[in-house]
Amino acid sequence: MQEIICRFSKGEEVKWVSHLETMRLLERALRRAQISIAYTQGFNPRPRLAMGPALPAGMTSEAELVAFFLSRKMDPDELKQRLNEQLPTGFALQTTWAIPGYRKKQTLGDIDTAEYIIIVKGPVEAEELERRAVGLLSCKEIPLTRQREKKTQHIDLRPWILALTVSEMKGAAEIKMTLRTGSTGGARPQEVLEQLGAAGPEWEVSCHRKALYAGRSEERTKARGVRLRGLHRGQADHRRERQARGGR
Amino acid sequence: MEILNYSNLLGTVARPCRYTNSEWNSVRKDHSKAKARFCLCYPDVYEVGMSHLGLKILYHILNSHPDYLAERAFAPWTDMEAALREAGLPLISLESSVPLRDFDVIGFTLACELTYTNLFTMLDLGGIPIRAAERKDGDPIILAGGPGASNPEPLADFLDAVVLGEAEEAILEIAEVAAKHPPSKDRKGLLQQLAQISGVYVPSLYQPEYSDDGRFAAITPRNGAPERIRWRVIEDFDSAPYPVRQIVPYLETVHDRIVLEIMRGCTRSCRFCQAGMIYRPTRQRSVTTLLDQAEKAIAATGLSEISLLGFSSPDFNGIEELIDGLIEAHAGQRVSVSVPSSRTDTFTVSLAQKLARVRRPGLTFAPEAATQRLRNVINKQVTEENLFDALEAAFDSGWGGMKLYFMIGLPTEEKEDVEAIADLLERAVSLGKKKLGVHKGRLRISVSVGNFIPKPHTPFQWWGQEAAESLEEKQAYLRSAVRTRRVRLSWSDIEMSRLEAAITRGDRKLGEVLHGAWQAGARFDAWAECFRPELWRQAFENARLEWKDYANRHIQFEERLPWDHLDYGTTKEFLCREANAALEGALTPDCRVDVCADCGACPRSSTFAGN
Ligand code: SF4
Repeated sequence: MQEIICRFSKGEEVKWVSHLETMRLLERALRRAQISIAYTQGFNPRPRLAMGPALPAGMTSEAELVAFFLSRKMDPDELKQRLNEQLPTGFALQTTWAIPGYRKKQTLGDIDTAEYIIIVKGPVEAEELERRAVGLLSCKEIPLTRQREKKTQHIDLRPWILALTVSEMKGAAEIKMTLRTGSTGGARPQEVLEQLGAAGPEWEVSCHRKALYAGRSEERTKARGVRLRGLHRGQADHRRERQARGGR
Repeated sequence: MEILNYSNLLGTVARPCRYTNSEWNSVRKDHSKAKARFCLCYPDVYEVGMSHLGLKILYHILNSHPDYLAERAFAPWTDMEAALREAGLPLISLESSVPLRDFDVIGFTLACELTYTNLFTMLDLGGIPIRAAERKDGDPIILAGGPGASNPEPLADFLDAVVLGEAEEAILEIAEVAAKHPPSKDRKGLLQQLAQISGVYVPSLYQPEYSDDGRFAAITPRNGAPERIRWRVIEDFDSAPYPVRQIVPYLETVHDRIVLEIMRGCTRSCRFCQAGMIYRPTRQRSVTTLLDQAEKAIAATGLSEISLLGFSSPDFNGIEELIDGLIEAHAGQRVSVSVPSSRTDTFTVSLAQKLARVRRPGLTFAPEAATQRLRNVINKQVTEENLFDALEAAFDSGWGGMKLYFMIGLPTEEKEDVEAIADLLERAVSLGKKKLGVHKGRLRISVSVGNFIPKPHTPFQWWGQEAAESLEEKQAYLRSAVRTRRVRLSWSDIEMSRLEAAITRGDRKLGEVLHGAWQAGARFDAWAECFRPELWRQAFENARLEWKDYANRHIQFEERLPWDHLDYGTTKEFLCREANAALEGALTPDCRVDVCADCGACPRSSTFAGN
């Protein structure tokens, strides 16, 4: 069994394709490309692939991640080339890495940080949004209730916002945010926009996921001798995160 | 030509992928180079429309031709319709985002009468006048086809042309005419030309007459249009075009699989079944062709399931050879095969066992009626022994669940026939419990109870539908008589069936009702959450027509029927003969394996009139 991690982009034309649909289309592309993916056991065998953190529908991205488990060894570059030929317009594999050795633990399970670039245009100016962002970061707590079907959940958004900046861009505002994501809890870009008062029908919003990081667990990932390019944090993000934490 | 997009709306509606393009294998051609541009429409949501093989076949045929192009559009769900109206945006094609009004031909696939109101929505949002008479040079030609158009009379005032029967060949003939006479210049001339194509019906060239009591009396052709329009049938089915490069939707559709059409038509002659009457004779593809098509389709789509389409797939000559071949070739890629079948016998079970090698399929049996007498009336040639043998075989091979289909309100049905359904289910459950032993907890029988709807071009076309109150009583009886947890009953909505019964046997007067109900807000009438019978009641009233008269009236054999001029191969004498045979409980054998029943649909019949 060989694990190959791919970073892929999702463009404007396919930004409404959901997480689950993306998974299914990857499965089909694998079959078209005749790549020997491994299958799960049982009555209803499924291709063995693991997706990174779900991208909310309506966003573009250059940082989506998927891990394929192959039953036969394959050169990651060849996989990239063959699969790219079979992906619909709007999807493209950017980088592929082979994970040396097979581990039970899922490599993508370590991903816990995401960076977004969001352009918003609406009734509030960039300058005011920037002020609000600073205000938000200086809060000790940002209590929020989430409604999921019938359950109500009380959460604090603040520790999940690692960085937040606003700048003016051609009459619109460019918001950059680095947020915790993943199974242990995280913030959604939409929630932060709502906090800034930059959401609603009078706003034109375009969201883009810029990067995913194995943040907190970066050390562990390194220790295993795996260096996931594009997965590790850049210096700037360290700084932003420190700033964000300093604000508390 | 206008190119638009919905980018500002998609964030506000459910399932935005319904309205976006770029699916794998979708085709985008240059509008400026095409001589005839079609927008193929299905008046229901994307997920339903994209499950229809007919639409995929026509898409493939037109786009394979260098001079023509075909794009797609589906009915916007109610949220999207509201958003479009608010934003003042038209309905656009998926591929090139062009408003419907900018195409040459709009081709509607009609599978069911309850989608008619969505057709109005699509025309209206597409910027096309709803009434054919109001369309001018420059407006597209509105074409329809499919089983839901087999009696297009209620839509006659809204359609420009209808294709009767199988459209594979006719669509290219239509494209050729449309290319020669662009609708932008000479609409009238184009319609005249279309009426000359065999199998193409141009309703505006026919004038209906009504008798004093307001009922349909006759219809007469004008301007040299043919007296009768004869349906189209593909003779060489084996080499008929099959789209191996099928579009692979992002959204999960109703049938998310490769549909391999192994056979077409069915001559088992169930007397209620319209499909079995209007697609004749039975034809099948060769195993070699099918194996080849399957291989290419898997390579081109990457889908993981193949479903063998045919009205009665187990009847296919060589079905075992085909299934073995498919499994052998594709089990390694984990491609599973399914045979949607309603044939009720042990053979079906043994096929299912074969298929279970990759993925275990569900089992469906359709006895339709629970007494032998009634099954003889409807010519469903299944005995109780067949059914129980099949159930036993299924339980023995480990199936704990299955689906059974029954119908209520069938001609000549008595109280005993309905009671027999409850009794049969009870016996099926006790057999299941006995056979499954310690695993009896797995026993689940889903039973779908449909309401009989008399359909045009069938031997039961003269029967009125049973009154709603009486159907309700029968449903209530079954609900109380079948008490075991092991059986899950599901029903079809009575009002919905009544509407379908009224429209399917309707005449042109019904157009007012359709249009009125749509104007009042009727949409997606086949969807329980959208269907509003009160709008229809009002629409009938406003048009001064009786819903009952259309749905529940028994028509006399001597009366002229609104669809008599539409010839689907079977002669009226045959349908009449079958109707009388039904009353006597006499059986008509399947002509595929037995003698010809002289229905008129193929050269074996003495009354065959040629194609
Ligand atoms: S004409 Fe005879 S053989 Fe041909 S479809 Fe009809 S019954 Fe069958």
